[in-house]
Amino acid sequence: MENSLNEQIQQWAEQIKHSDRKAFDELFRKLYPRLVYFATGYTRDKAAACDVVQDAFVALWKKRFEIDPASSLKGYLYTAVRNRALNHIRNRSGMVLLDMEEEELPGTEYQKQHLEDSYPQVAKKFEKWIEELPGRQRETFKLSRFDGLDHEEIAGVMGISEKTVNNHIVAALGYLRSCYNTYQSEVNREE
Amino acid sequence: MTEKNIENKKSGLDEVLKQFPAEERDGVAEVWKESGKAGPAVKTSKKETEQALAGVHERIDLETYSASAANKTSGYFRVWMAAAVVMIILAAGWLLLPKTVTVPRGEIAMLELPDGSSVEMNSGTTIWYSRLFSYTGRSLKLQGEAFFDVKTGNHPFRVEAGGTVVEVTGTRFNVRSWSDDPGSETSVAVTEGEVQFYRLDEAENKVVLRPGEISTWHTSLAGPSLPEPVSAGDVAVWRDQRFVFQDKPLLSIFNELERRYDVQIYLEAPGFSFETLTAYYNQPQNLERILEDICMVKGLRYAETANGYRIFK
Repeated sequence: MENSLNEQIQQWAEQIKHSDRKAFDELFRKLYPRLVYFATGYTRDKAAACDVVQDAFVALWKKRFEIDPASSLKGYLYTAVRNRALNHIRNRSGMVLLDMEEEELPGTEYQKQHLEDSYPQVAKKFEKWIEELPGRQRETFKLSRFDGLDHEEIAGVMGISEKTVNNHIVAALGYLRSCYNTYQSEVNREE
Repeated sequence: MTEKNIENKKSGLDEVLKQFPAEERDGVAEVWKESGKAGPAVKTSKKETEQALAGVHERIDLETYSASAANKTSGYFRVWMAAAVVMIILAAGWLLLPKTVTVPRGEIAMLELPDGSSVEMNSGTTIWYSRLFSYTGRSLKLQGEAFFDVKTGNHPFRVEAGGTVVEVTGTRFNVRSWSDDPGSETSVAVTEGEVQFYRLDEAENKVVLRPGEISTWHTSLAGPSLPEPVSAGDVAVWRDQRFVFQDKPLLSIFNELERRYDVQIYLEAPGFSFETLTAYYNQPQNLERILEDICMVKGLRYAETANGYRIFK
């Protein structure tokens, strides 16, 4: 399914290049929710994330004639959103500068709120563990797992090599597995 | 599209699993699968998405209109700028604010300009002009299609549309410039008098059009095309509700039908957007007849939806 979505996106890329507003709208509807989630990972504020993503789409339309249908439009959008989100953090006055390379962001409002609703126990645990991952590992893992980007696209978005992408995901899965194993043995003991 | 989709070779999972000893791979794959349950923690509803999309449309249209204004401004900065603009307007009066006139889909409207010139506007067309129009120069911007009947005046009459300019003194002509047509095509046809047609900021490279001539510009052309003859009856056929499609891509035909009949038409046949068609309708009574014809010629089918039609193979 992910693959057919990617094909669909590339077809839209071609149409958008020819100023097809409807293809642009379809692309927006498909990717907006995911990109907002992705951007919130940086801005930690949904309203700002929405602004950032909308900016990226307006810019895409302005530069539509430069779209290269041979390269991944999805990768392009994620890169654009990430750059804008990082700029947003940098420009936010009166806030502590966050170094995305190293900083581990603490759990925030939006997850806590989310953890309270009726959600499978394991899912909540995984959300917590994923948020515990070091910054870049978490970023890479989420892009791969939840946004369906391939290694090449992630490498482009993050500005790192494909090998590093692979290493981050391997490390992330290693950590998640140890958490999961501990959690399972606890559950078994309780039963 | 599902968040929990794991049967995806391209995700590089295989590449990742290779890094683990063979006996651990199943366990890791299970962790990968289970982690998918943790779906996005930030949810965006359909309604929010549609509202955001409407906002993006507004900004795209606005920025096409004032393309030269502040280019790289962030969302927040724009808010401050808007606030500043509001202050200036309060101080200087609202004279500088352009007047916007939009004709709803499914309708055609007549607009009388302050200098006595008149404009007949096709469905879905927008025109912006200064409240000081005819005092500071007769200049307006167009998105869509309109037929102009310009009164001779002291200032030249200027229409800006889709990156082009049409300049006249007193004459009658039609401008077609839909931003959703392929290549943002703009075409100008004249029925009376003389007009100059050129790309924005390239006045030296102009085409002069006389009655019965048409010229077109789109993004893959360096400048407007040389004047070509057009029969008087085919200029602005929309004014008497007719359709003339001459080698028109299906994409623009459907766009036009959508505006005229106020419906949504989804072309769900990959590769057909740029297929061209020639058809004439002198008294188009209903949309379904037209769709029927197009589908028959192109080997497509159509089905009615809640707010329009779906075209498919």
